[in-house]
Amino acid sequence: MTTAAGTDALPVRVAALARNAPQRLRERPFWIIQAGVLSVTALHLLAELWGEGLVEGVHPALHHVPVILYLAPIAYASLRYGIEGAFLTGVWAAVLTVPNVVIFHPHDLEWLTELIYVAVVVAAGITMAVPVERERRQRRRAEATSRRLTLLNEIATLTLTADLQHTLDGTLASLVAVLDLEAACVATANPDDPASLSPLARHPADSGAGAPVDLCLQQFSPLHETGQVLTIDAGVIAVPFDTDLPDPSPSGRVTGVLAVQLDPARPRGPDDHQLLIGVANQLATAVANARLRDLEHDRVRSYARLVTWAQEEERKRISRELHDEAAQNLVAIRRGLDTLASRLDPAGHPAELRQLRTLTGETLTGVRRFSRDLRPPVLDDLGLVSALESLVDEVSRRTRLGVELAVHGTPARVAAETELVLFRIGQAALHNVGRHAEATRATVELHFADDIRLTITDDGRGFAPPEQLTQLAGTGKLGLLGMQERAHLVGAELEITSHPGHGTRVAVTVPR
Amino acid sequence: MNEQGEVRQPIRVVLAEDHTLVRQGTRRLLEDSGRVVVVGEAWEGEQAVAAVDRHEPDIVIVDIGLPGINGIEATRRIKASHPQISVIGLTVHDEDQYVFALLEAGAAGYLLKDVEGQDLLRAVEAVHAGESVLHPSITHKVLTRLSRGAPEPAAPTDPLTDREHDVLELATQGLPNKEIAARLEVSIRTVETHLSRVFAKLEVGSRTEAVLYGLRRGWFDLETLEPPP
Repeated sequence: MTTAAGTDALPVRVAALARNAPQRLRERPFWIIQAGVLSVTALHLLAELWGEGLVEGVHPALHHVPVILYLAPIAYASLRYGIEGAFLTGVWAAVLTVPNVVIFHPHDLEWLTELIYVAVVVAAGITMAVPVERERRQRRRAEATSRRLTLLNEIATLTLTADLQHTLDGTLASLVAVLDLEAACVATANPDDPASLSPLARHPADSGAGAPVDLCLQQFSPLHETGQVLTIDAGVIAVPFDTDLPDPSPSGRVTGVLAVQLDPARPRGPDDHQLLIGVANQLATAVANARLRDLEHDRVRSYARLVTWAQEEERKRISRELHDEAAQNLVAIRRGLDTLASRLDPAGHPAELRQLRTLTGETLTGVRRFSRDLRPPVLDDLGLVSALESLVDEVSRRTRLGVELAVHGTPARVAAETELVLFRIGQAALHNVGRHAEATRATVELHFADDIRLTITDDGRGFAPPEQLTQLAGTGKLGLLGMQERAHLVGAELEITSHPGHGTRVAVTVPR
Repeated sequence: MNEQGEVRQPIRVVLAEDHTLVRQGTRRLLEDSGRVVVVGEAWEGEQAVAAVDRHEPDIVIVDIGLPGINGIEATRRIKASHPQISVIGLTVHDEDQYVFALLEAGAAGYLLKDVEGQDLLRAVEAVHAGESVLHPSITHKVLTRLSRGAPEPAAPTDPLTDREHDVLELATQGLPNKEIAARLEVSIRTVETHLSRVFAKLEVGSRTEAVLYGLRRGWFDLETLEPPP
């Protein structure tokens, strides 16, 4: 694993720069440096020629001056390519000086003075490059830090949303962009098999068959420690994390992993690893939050289920009580009054007796209606088909809506809970048709096959249903949401199809 | 007593009703008339079936909401072993579906529990005399519904005479025995005799059942059932 630029020894960096020569050849600064070095060398040669008297009127001492000009390309190289650039340019300048020395200064120790002179100039150039290099490194680090802060900021914002998939996709996309990664994926352990992983998100989305995902899934072990960076393979690293928040297991059990595939051309440092660990922790938090939300949702739902059943049981109890006690007592009173009346002289029926009999009859009718509204006895006594018939009769009688019931297949009694839920959904659907649909006709169909399907169709104004039925809560269409919750009680599937202007169809299917 | 003034045997009734006060009140009301004698009481479904087996009454009055097997199932069992005994269903509920279920189970009639005492008495006598106790509108609804079902295969031989067919068809239209007698220019007694022969041959206990029987075998269709003007 290579570390970040700037901390390696000079030879390593020089070698790296030289390795990338083909790329440098395409860069403008490289050719500017070459032009500079070659111009200075040419000027140096010309000055020597003047000094030999080939060109009249130039002082011989001036032939040393051009060498100082090497400082310009060396300084420029240090700016563009760092200290290693300055070094290579200096060496190159020194090499180019060799013919000059051989041709013009072969005698005595003149060649040595000439070489020392060149060496001093090159050394001065490289020394100048050092502070430049330091500046450059600091700037690069500041930029990297800034990008990472932006990334963490983005991720923090993403984790605020309730949509886990959105958070994961967004986080991986930002991570890949900021760290120049080839690909990234996040996976969590399967609840029933902690030793195997399921990927939750990948970026790019089609990198599924690529190395990082496959490798991180194959190499994963729950024995790894969280909060460290594992090198899975050249170019692939993985950061395990624990999603059991906010109460992580003491041993830091691994329940998930963030895996990334690196661009081999880009060296990495400890900062990158710290960033990956930080991102992994954020992902763990996001996953844990989503799980807590799901758990909370399940709790609310099972509570709602209990409340619904308790309500139905209570209604049934009151309805029975009204029927078995109140209504029967009223019948008994009525019978007593009848007997009393028949024993009295028919001509002399007191008006009070007649009134009492009428009042008893009216009270009985009221009690009967109340009991039936709470829980239709037809449903328990005669079953779903009769209860729906009765419902359809009643809606047709009470409203202007034309309702028809069609039963297909062979009707049979099923579990009381199932019959109750189907009846209540039918009741709620017809209630909605009457209240909101502005429909003239509605059809209730009941199919008995391997499963039981109840559909309620109307020719009303329809509406645009949301993609998720749970979003109905925000639209005030709580009736539909209630239907869905009731359907879930018996493992039924509820489907609502509607288009503005084209009516609505509510279908509920339940296994027998 | 009938119209000829001769003394008839009292109508023997089994009363199946789980609510004690209602059962006692109904019994008193029926027996006060002097025309009905309650030979057995029951307050559970199975008990009602057993009481009918033991007493073999003319008529059984069954509450739909009996504990154990409900009144509808009790009716079905009673009719299975005693097709000649008529069952009148009695209930607090007024949904048509109860009527359908009761009549499908073989009941001769259906009454709401809060009927006037005299109406209940009249219904018992009417069923006993082979007359209908259903309101014509209910009858039509029931027949419409029942005729929707696939007709049962026709019996190999039609056991009824032409005269009996005439009587049954007029009965099907909901005419009282007196009216039938007038139309056929015979005595009421003759009509009653014809009807009881029809019931015996068809192994049913009431006019309602006989009508359903004929309808299921396609002897007449709904159009002929419209009451004549």
